Amino acid sequence: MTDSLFKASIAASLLLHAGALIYASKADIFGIRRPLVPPDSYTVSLVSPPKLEVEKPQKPEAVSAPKPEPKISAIEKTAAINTPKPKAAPKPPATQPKAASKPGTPSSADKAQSADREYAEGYVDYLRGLESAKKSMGQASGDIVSKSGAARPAEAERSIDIDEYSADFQLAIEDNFRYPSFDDKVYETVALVSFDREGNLTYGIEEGSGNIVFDRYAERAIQMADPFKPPPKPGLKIRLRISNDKNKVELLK
Amino acid sequence: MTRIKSNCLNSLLIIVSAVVSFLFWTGRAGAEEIIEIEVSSPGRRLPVAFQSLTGRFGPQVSAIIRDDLEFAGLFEFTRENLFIEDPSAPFNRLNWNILGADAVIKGSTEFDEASGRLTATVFLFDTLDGSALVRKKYTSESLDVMRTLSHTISNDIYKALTGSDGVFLSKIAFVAEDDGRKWLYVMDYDGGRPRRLGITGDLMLGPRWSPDGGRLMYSAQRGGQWGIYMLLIPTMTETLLYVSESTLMAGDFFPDGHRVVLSSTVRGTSDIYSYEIGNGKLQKVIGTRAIEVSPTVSPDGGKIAFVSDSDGEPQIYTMDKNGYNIVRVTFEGKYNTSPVWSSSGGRITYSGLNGGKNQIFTVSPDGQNPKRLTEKGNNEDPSFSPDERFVAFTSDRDGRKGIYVMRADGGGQRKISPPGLKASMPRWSPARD
Repeated sequence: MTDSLFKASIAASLLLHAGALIYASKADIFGIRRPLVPPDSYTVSLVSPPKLEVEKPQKPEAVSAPKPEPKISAIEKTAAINTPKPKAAPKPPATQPKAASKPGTPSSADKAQSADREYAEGYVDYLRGLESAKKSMGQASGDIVSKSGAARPAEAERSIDIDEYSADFQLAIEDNFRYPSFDDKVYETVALVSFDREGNLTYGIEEGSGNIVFDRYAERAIQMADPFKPPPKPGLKIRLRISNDKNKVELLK
Repeated sequence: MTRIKSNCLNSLLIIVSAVVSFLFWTGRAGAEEIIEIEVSSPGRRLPVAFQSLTGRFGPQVSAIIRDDLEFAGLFEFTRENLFIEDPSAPFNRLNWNILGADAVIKGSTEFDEASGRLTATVFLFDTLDGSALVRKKYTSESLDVMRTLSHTISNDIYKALTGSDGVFLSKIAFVAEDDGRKWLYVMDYDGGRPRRLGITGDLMLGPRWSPDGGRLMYSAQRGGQWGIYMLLIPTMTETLLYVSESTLMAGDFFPDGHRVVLSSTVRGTSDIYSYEIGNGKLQKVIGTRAIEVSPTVSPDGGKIAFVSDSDGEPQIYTMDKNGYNIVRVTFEGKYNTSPVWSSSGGRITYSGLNGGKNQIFTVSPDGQNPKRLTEKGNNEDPSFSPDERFVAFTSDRDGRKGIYVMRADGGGQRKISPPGLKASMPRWSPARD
């Protein structure tokens, strides 16, 4: 082999390697993004409930009037708005009506605003219903709203690392896992949970416990945590070992 | 020409190696790290919403089911006045998610006056996805078996929610004093439907269920003579197994149901014997100068727990079924008696004198981890439920001996025998479907 040919070959190899590195680190070729190095931190943008203050000027008595907690009536109100599920989905504040229109001339925009206002008012009652129901039943706060692990306003817009994220997920699973038995028999279900960019979960049971009811509660705990917070690293995978062992919770890694 | 070929081949090799290297590195970039997390929870109460069944007999059936499930101690019932869904409306999980209920029980009953037939349609829903874990119709031919119908529903709900068989159809046999004589009784596990079986004696001791639940063995003194008897329950036929001038005490069945253990004072002090029901063969298992009584067979049939005063005071011991390998189990307290194995063989419950009064304890067969379960009054004659989650026992805490049940951790203690009936020596039946 001549030196010139050998040098040319080495140069070609270097070029190929450089291309590979560029491709692997940041290239968005063929619509596939494949990050080589995970970011040191990840900014989490969590979904928040609609900003209820917007509605105050329109119907101050509905929002500011301190209701004497007639819990049952609060729940009854929620029933009316709870049935059509799509309404219960929190809307971003930008879609809220800016102000009430003048009375007497209801335009289509007014109607839309009115409908939105009704929805928002209903949502206020919905949240109150949730709160009063939780208080009435003496449940620990966060049992309903935070069980999904999402929508924690205090945690929004802050960076989290993988350790913190996995610890939060562990807490959510602990909170959601409600196997109603106090037997001495120990069961363990192993599941592999994958998180997409938005925190949506997909999972598979790697090892069943041998007790299908126990496995169902383990799956239920995972399903209740879905969607979770957006992960610090897309494509994150967590292997969960859920058991009724009385040992303390242990973070293996 | 050959040289050109060689150069081309070398170039090709370099390019191939570069491509392989490229694939290797890009593959590495895509490899995911898997984080391992362990979540351990010893169990907790499941929030359940129980909407009373509709229909004329809905409240009665619902009350029995709810009572069963409450006694289980595994469920936390949502307050009914918070319910927003009409009992007759179709299930909508959103109406229950808001209340924090993980499962919902609802349904209906129908009663046909002409035939006396009672039908209950019961649903158990999971509020996470709205799926029906139980969707069943139950029919009883008369109202007389409404309790059986209700307990059957309880068993199905319990099984669906816990994966374990319920004990709500099991029975408790016991001895009660009535008209100055001792009588054999049987009642539901919760005290319902107490029945005097018509079996009596001047003295009666320890009814014991056969493993299939079809027979009861007991000892009775009639006319000054002790005998061990077997009652075939379906036909209510009594058979004399063994008779003696000495004191005889029925011990327990072996798992095969063909052999039993008993204690007898035929040779002076009480010794323990095994007895073949088919051929009447009696064989000594253990006989010393000490008193050996209250034999009870382990679930696998390999061990016998019993009481002996060989160390100066009554204590619980275990031995092999042939009388060898004796191991002392209890060391705390000066008077420990009435051992009974749990169905898994993992625990032994017994009665022990503590502070001048008898109390119920459990202990591992190796003597480890003794636990006291009772506090008030004198408590004796413990018996595990077939799922070993409950214990029946005798107590005089309200001034008169009666039958009580509790969870195996000592929780939920309540009297179940009829008020005014002096009852003792309960024995829990095997599970029934």
